[in-house]
Amino acid sequence: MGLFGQFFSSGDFQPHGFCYAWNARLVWLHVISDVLIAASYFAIPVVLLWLARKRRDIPFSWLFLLFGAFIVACGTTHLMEVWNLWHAQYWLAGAVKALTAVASVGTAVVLARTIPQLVRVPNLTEWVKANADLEIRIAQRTKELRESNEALQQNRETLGLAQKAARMGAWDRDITTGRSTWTAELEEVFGVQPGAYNDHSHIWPNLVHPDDLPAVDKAVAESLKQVSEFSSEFRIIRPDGEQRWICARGNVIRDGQGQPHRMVGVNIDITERKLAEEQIRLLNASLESRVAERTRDLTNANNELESFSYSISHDLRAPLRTIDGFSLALLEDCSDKLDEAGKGHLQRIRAAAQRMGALIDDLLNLSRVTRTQLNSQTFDLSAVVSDVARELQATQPGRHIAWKIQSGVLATGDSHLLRVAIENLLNNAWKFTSRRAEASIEFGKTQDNGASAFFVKDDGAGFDPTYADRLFGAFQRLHAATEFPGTGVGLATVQRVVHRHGGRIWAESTVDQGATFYFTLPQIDSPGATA
Amino acid sequence: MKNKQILLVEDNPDDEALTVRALKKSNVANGIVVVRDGVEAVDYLFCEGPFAVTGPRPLPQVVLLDLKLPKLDGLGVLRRIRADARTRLLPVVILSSSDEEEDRIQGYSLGANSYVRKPVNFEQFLEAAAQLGLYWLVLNEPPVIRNI
Repeated sequence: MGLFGQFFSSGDFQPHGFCYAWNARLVWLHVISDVLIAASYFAIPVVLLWLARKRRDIPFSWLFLLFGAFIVACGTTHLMEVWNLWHAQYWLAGAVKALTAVASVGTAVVLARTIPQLVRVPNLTEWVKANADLEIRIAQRTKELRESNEALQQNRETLGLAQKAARMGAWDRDITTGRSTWTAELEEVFGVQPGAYNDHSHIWPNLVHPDDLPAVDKAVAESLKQVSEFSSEFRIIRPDGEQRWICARGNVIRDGQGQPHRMVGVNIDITERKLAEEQIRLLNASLESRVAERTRDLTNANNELESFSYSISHDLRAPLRTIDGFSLALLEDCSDKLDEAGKGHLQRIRAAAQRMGALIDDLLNLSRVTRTQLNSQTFDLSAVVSDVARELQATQPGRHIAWKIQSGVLATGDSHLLRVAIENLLNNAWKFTSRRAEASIEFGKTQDNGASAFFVKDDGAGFDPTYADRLFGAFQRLHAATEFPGTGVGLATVQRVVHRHGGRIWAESTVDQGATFYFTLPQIDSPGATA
Repeated sequence: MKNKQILLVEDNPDDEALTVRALKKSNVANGIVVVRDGVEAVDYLFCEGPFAVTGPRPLPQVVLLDLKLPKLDGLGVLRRIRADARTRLLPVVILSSSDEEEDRIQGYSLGANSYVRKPVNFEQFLEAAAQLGLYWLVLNEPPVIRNI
């Protein structure tokens, strides 16, 4: 009998039931127990396999297979136990056991090696917690993403609004491919269809005004060459034919190798600014020409006035001198041939000549106020008033005038012209107080509506306020020449002096109650020049 | 005896008559020479043209110079007087109708010794002439008396 035959032969062995002395109870105890064990051992791997197939995510599923094999082997050994109760194929049972041993040892070894990995596998609670954490984090990230998306959208809208408001738009051009991206706002500025601007080299030359194109191209080329900022102003002609002014700013962006590969920037519609500038330029030009014209007219008028005054000064007085001189000569040389009436006539002729001489002098002074250049300085006006008062008093030392001159009053203006003004005002006060045995003349500075005004006040004849507006006109007199002499040019001169300083003059009076003349000099109210 | 001659440069015959009358009344001059335009004044002073003489002739004590003159005006005459070494120090009084600042500044700038405005009132004119004569012919000591 070969090895195979021996394997399945009972040989000389007794069946295993023999060992139990064929005690029926004992035999059935073993049979039933072994069969149940085997059945269970065969059922467990099926369940394990089913689980492994269902839950492919479970780690180490191959371990289930190993366990399955090992348990099936164990179950088989138990079936062999039952079989050998009646048969004595112990070699076969030994072989099955040996196989089971191999599967058991293998499983034990593999399991021992896998234990450290198995230990690291988290348990279900941990899995659940980790999962929940993950959920929370995912929710959080999603929220963040949504928020940043919203912010981005908002930014985009704000940028869009800003671009619209500024009439500007952005562009981005790939230098190598020539492809351009324009924002919707830029398309609007250039009046092109959305997405139409895709081929720079073909569309651009048709949009830019032909006169400006070379300059723009040059600026772009220069910017690319220098890898520097680009800035240019030029006109465009939109597809609808409208012409607009554009201010373009851009920059060159290098790639990883440092080579320029993109140009990005903004174009701003500056048409309105350009139009305004042009308008301002035109206005300025017309203003300049008008100023030049006015200056020319004024210069001419001034020159005419100058030669006119010069001629009056020289030529008009000479005949008066002749009239006066020869009238006196007549009176002296021919007095014996003239009666009193004749002498009286000659006196009238002389008086008239002299009055006209005085008129000419006053007129010349008046025109001189206009003709002379203002030399402004700050000086002691009180000192000037005192000086003029002294001179007046010297002409008639017998008159009793109480001079009340506020000291230290400073004025800013032309000291020569302001002296002329003070002379005229004090002369007036002196003249119109001449009928009083005792009079007072006052000078000082007062506040009028917050502005400081200088004043000259007397208690003389005064004037009727009804005619106050005629006071400052040349040759206007409110008193008869016989009452108070004068040419009527004095106050006109004062007014002209004050006006030339940008000041104001006015007077208050009641008949026989005296008069007060006020005048302002705007410069004196400026900070640092106050008295 | 001092040379008390006055040279009056005046084109207006009325003014000439009145000035001569006033100077005579003041009784200070023993001679008044009148020339009637600027060229004549220069010719007289430098003994040229119609005034060329053989022998030396004394310069006037003072020149009374009007500004508005035919041919060469008063300032032109003054310029010629001051430019010539012989007359550089000659007293010149401008006697003018005008008191324009421009005239006064130019007159003094060119070396006038005095500037007097002729008043309309003849009495004042007389007084001015008297004072002028007294000052320039009696009180004032000229730098040098020389002939030309």
